Amino acid sequence: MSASKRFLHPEAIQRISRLDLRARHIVEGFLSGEHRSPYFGQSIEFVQHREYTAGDDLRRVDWKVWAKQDKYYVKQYEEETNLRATLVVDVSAGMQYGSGPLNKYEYASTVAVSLAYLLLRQQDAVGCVAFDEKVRRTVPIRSRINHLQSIITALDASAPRDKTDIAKVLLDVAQETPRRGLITIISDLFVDRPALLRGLRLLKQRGHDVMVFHIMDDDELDFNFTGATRFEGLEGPDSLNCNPRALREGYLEAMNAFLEEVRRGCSQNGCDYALIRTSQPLDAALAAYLSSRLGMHHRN
Amino acid sequence: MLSFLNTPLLWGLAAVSVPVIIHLINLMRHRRVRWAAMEFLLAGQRKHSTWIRLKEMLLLLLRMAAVAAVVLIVARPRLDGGLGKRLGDVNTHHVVLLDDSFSMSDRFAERNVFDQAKAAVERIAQAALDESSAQTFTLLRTSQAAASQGAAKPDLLEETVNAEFVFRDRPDRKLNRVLEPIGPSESAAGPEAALRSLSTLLKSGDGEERILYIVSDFRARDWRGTPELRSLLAAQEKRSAQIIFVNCVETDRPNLAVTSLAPKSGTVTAGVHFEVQVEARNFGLATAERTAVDIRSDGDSGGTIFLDPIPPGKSVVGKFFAFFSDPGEHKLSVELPSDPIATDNRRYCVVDLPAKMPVLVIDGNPTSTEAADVAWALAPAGPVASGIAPQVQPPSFLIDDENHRLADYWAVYLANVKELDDAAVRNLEAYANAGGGVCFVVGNQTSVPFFNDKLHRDGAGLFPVALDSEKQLFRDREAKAFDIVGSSHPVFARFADERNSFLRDVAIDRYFGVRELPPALAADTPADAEPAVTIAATLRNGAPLAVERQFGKGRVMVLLTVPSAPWSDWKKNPSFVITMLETQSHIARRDRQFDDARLVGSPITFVLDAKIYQANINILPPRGSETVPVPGVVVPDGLKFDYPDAAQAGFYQAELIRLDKTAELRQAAVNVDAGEGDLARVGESELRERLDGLRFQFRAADRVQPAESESSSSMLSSLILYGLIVLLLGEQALAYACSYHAPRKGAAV
Repeated sequence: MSASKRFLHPEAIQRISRLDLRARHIVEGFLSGEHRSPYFGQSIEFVQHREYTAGDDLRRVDWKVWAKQDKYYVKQYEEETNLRATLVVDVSAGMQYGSGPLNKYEYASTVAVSLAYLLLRQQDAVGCVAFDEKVRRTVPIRSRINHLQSIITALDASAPRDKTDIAKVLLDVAQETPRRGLITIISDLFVDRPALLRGLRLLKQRGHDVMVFHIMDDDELDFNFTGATRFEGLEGPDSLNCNPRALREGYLEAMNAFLEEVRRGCSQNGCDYALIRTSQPLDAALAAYLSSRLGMHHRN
Repeated sequence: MLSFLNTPLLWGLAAVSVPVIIHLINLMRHRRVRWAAMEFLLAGQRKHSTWIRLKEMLLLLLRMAAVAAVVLIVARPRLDGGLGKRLGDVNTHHVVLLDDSFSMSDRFAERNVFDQAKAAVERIAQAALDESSAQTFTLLRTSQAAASQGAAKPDLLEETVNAEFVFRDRPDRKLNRVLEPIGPSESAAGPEAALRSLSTLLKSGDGEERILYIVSDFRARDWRGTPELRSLLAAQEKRSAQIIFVNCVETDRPNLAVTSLAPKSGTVTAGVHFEVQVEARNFGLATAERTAVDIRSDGDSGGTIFLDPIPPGKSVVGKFFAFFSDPGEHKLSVELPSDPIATDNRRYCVVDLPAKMPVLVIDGNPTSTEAADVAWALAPAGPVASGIAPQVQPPSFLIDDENHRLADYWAVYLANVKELDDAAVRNLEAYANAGGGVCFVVGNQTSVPFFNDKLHRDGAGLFPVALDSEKQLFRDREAKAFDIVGSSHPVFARFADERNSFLRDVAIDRYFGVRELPPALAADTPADAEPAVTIAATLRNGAPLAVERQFGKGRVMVLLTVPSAPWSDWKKNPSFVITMLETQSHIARRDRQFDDARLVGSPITFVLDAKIYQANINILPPRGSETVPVPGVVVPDGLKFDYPDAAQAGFYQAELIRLDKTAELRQAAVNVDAGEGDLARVGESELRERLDGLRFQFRAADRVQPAESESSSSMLSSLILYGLIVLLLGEQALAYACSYHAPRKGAAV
């Protein structure tokens, strides 16, 4: 299966294509686009009148107002800019687990590609970073529609390795992306939590709008195993023989503590957080999330 | 000490390893899962592993214990000794007395009562098998207890009840094999003998709970008015936990029984037609009309007679004449039509016929003809034999009883005897007292003082009346009455229904008067009413002509006239011969009954002369094909042979072997106790009344299970059962605790 077919699901794309991905904060675009810009510029979106001061462009004087009031007012328009989005996708060995038709890696890649398509379609610029123990592939931020193929190729990683230092990865991303933009992290977050939170804080400090898509499998969340089972670690040498029903309580305790910690960390750092199960239909999950984000955007 | 009733089932304890094996198999069959979230798994395991391991181990142990408990319950454990007794785990001993008297053969449709009883016995055993505690079983038939004279032979004695003993409808089990050949006996034995034998038969019964079942038809005959039965049952009550009467009969049924079959006493000899009386009794509630009695003599059909209607509860006597030309033993039997109980429809009798019946005629006056007349009348010449052999002897013959053995004679006639020697009087009285018949014909020689003082002795002696003197019966030509007036007395009864009796033509001229008539004795007073003096016939003027009295077992008859002139012309009249033959029939020895009273269960005894016979006889029982050798025992009279076990009614044939090796056959008839044919029953309420204070249960044969008693169930098995329930509940609880269950408000996420 080619990488594009693997991650581009036409049905899902079709369903989410009506949605927009909006930056939650003001981002510095490099093109005129849908997103609000910190600059006033040429636009159709009128904001306010202001009294003329020296140095203002005479072209912006509202002559109709002068005619009525004999005062010079300048019309101000909202300048719109485009979004610079970076998709940070986890392609480590741990993402290879999956009980449904898609494993976490495939699901995460599909989410990333779908978002990339969505952004490219609305004239925004998208870059992509695939990481495991370190940044493996980086795709620069571009807004060409054929840039999608580069992203797909970057995500189709081989020989996955363990995750180690997420803080380093996020620092790298921050350094690679000097301008404020949207950073979307798609991962199962089975990493060192303090390092993760440190990384998120760093990104936020740099002024990025950070979204975290937490991709989890049903088995990992519910642990519905029965019968004697031998669990072998995907990212390490650990293994465990056990009766899963007996262990379930302890496992879920630890898992819930983890989820809670991540959720709280994201919220403290002002990051958007969405827990997505691989069993959820991709389009529904994205649609729900994007809609809610849109709602939040409009409230701003 | 713990023991198990079904020890082989203890192999099932191997099943205890099943939970372990299942656990091991699960370990071997584990799934492999490549897992990302190992971190949380290990964290959870670290936190709970000890507790989980403990719970899982406990769960495994609980499951193993539950399997072991099931195996133990099935193996039926019991504790012997004191602890077991305290736990109530005692052996239950079912003692079944099975009434197999022939009233149990009461038949309706295709089943008889005894089949019901056997089915009830099987049900008892089956119910015992279903009990969880140890059970033993004893079966004793009443006929066996009665026949063996105290050493009762039970069919089953303290047999352990298990699946080998009885199992549902399997006919190959021990109980079925024992019961199958058993049928109702011909014995009439009630429950007393069986109850009496229980005390010797069974051990002390300590440490066992005894349930006594009496499986019977509860006929009134056995259960009414029996203080001994009450005390025997009371003795059993003390040792038994329960007494259960199992009633096998629901309805009263009609039944006819032959109660007696014997030749009428009299002239019973070879070559003579003699009268045989058969008595039948109706035990039903309706009159039996025209009952046919089939007669067999010496194995051949002897015709059929019909009895008069027999009212309920009454007996009727029928008569027929039998004839055997040869002297010796002959077999007579009768049979009634089939009815619910067939056993008592037959009656057997052996008649030992002499060639002639010797009688003694004492001639008191050789110059006159009285003795000759009597002897002639007893054995008249002609084509028809009377079967009587009169022997005329002088009065002195009576003195020497040693040599002359009066007992050999069937009757003694004293014709015109004047006086007798004292020894002769003694001998004569002893003879009559023992059952011999004496007939006096008084005459001109008769010494009135001697007769009154020595023979009559105011009624204490042999002679029935005190004589007065010779009287004249005056001829009365105008009178219409006849000289002799008969009565219903057996001697003269024959003349009563004859239209032109020869008796009317007899003319009496003289007679002996009687000093005092016996007070108000009617002629039809029963002849054997002691000490009745009966007037058998009177004269025209009311004076007695023939009187009779009972003396001891014998009868004494007096003719108060002489059959020849000048006293009367009686001997010329045929009625004299008839009167004498009837007299002979009436007074002939009554101790020589043709005994049909030998009953089933009683021994058959022969006492033989050791100088003639060998010390062994063979007895062929009825319907038997093989003879049973019976050894003799030396007794003062000779050799005594006892055949102890006459279990069947019928003819028993004894083969006696003389010392010269020649054989001789003798017959003995054994009959059932006809009273057992009385099918009247006692109900529960009547039993409770009669056995006042006795605790017992009264059950129908199809509902015989003993009442549940706390102590009869096995406490030990119950304890294990409760333990098993606790184990299973614990197992469920622990299994629930060992596995994860989502909180009610949905899963964690």
